[in-house]
Amino acid sequence: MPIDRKRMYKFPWSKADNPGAWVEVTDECDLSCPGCYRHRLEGHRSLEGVKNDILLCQRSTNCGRISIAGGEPLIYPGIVEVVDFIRRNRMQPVIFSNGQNLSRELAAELRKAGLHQIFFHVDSGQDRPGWEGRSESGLNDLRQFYADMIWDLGEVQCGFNVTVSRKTLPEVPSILEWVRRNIPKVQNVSLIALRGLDFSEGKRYMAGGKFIDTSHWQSGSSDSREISITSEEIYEVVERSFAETRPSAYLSGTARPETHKFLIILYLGSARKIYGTVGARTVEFNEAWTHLRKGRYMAGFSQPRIGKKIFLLAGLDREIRKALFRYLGTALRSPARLFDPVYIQCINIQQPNEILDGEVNLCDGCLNQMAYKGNLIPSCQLDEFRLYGGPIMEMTEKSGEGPGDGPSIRGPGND
Amino acid sequence: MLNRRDLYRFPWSKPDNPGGWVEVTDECTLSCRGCYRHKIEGHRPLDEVRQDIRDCRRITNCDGMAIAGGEPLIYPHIVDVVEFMARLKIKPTILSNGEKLTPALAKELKKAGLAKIHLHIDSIQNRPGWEGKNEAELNELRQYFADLLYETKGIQCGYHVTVFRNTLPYLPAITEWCKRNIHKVQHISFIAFRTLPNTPDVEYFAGGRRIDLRTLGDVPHDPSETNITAEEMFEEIADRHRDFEPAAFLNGSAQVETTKYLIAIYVGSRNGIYGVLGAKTVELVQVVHHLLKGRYLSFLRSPVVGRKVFILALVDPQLRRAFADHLRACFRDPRHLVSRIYSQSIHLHQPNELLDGQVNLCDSCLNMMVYRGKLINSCRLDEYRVFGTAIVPAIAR
Repeated sequence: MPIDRKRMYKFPWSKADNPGAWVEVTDECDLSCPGCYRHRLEGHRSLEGVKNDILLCQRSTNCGRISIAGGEPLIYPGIVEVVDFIRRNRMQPVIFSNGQNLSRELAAELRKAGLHQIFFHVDSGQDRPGWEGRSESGLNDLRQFYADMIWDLGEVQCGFNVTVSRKTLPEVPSILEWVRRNIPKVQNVSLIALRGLDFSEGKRYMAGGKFIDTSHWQSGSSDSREISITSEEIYEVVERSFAETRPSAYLSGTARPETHKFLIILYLGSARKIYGTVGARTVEFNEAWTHLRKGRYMAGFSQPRIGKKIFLLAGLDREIRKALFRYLGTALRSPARLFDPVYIQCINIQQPNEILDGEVNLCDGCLNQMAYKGNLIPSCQLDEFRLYGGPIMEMTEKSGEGPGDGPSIRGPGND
Repeated sequence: MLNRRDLYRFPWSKPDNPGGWVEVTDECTLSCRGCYRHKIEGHRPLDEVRQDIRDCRRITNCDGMAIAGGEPLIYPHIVDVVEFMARLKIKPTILSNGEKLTPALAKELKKAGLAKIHLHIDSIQNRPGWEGKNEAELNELRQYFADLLYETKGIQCGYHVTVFRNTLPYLPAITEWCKRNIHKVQHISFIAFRTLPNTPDVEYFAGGRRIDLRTLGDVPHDPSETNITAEEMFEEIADRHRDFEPAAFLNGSAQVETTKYLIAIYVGSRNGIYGVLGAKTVELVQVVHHLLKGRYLSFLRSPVVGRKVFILALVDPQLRRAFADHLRACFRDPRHLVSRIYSQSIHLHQPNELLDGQVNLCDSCLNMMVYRGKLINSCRLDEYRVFGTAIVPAIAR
């Protein structure tokens, strides 16, 4: 079934009023994943600089949670202090990690400091030591290891990031199969379409009025098909395998509002069965109500074990109504299921930063803005600023010269 | 001083926005400084205009739409356009210089379903018959149109004023006039003058090629003319009008800290202003309208908000003060007890600024339009018409 915007809620987030923000503590990493936006330039950042950026983000975005990213944040010596600092400033700290340096001791320390959630980037493109040559379903063992570890820790939520390439797109259902079965343990999965610069013949890039040398730029491809997977394509693959899947909310593109940059699917279910999804109405009501009460928006859930009370909204939300019918049907067949706790789980399909017909198409309402030299920028563009001083634009002609051809103008100045 | 956290950031975005925009002609009877539009195509075919209206509604989910140009009142099918829009249940607003507005045409437009007219009147236009008049003196012309529309009954009246360095000091006098006419005037936009700088340190690119800005025929200007901010306009007005308290804003697309729209909404009657709506009321109105109707609210069809608005005083401290003021006024002068209660919105706009590699636009702009099937910022239409795509500035470092 094609995506119907009328059945989805457009999140009301903007740069100035956004539930999330982003801070990077280091650009060092112990892996080199394809599609990574980050280049090694500075190493570990000063704790003072990181703290200032966090406060600036809070001031300018009104955010309630901060993602700590990099590089690999777990190799940053001050990571526990950063988590603690965010918590003390009444926000939720979230870590984006590859997991390699996460010991049980460090996990316990991070929980004590107030960690809200940890996202593990695990996918087959990484070629991890010890996991070389595994398919995506083969990596579900590693995902299970991290999910169990965080579950045992308690209180901290668990998420996964997966970069989706042409090669791994058909394997998405096998990942989701595992994710859905783990609904009590796994709160989020982001399926992120691979993006990068198009290095094909004739493409040149400019920043600050000068052509730039992109030979050191890490993420990109000379095959434009590789970096053009859309969120609709990923969604179709998901929906083909899991028919009850319906997206409930989205973010659009800045230059192409018809693109879906974030596509949110919220599953309701128990460890034994997914009953259905949460619909647009509930998401809208939740965002509006949270903002009226607390003066800021919300991303994620405070309580993933949402319970059967969610079915009370069946009167307003047709998706929940459908889930309720499936739940009741299941309970009729095996009444023991009535005692299964009901969880909520978020699948976020993302189509990142891209250049379409010469225009940069970012996520409108992006959750991952960061402070850079006192300004707020989309974190995916950080290295454009660090390496070239500002955002990249695409040039089509080698010389960059040429008259603009267009209709002639009668009127002010030219009559 | 303004504190952003006391203001509501509108929940709008490109695909879920209360406003849309369509242009019917690029011909005009005036040549105002700061106008974005160049004469290229003349009147557009009615079928194309209708298609753009349908597309704009589909893409933006808009509640109201501006019919602009050029001067829409010289477009031969203007009544058809209004009627078409009203039939789609979109609230039509015409943006006009008023020169062609007669009581007879107003009646016809009202019958077709026109909701509002915004009249662009300011001293830089050098209108025939009003040459050399300052902004305060132009209140007389504003009054003429306000009376005309008030007598037509059913079409709301708004104004646009482009603000230059030399007209900035007149904002309090215009605001004064608006407040006195709250029963006749529902809206005014003060729009800071902007234009593309034609200076050696800025180069322009479009579609991957360097372009010559002179193609647009823009004249050089003094940079101090194009840097008036929304905050400056706010200070100018608030200095004389202590009750001028904004409730909501939109930020810049590239620089989040810039204020692109700053909106204050007065409540009052023909006998006087009581106060303003606060952020909480604006937020409640937007989210409840969206929950009930599936779209955000552009403006109320009737400018008479009535005493029921004061119920929201329970959650809105600004409105609580307005209610108290209303009660005191009733006590002093019983006429206030029976007079109708209106709202009036005052918008401060700060259009585009150039940064290196990007343009700082209004994030969640209300004036997005369809051009060749694609949604674009209406302020950039001529970049698309002349250069085929949006201009990207490069500032030499």
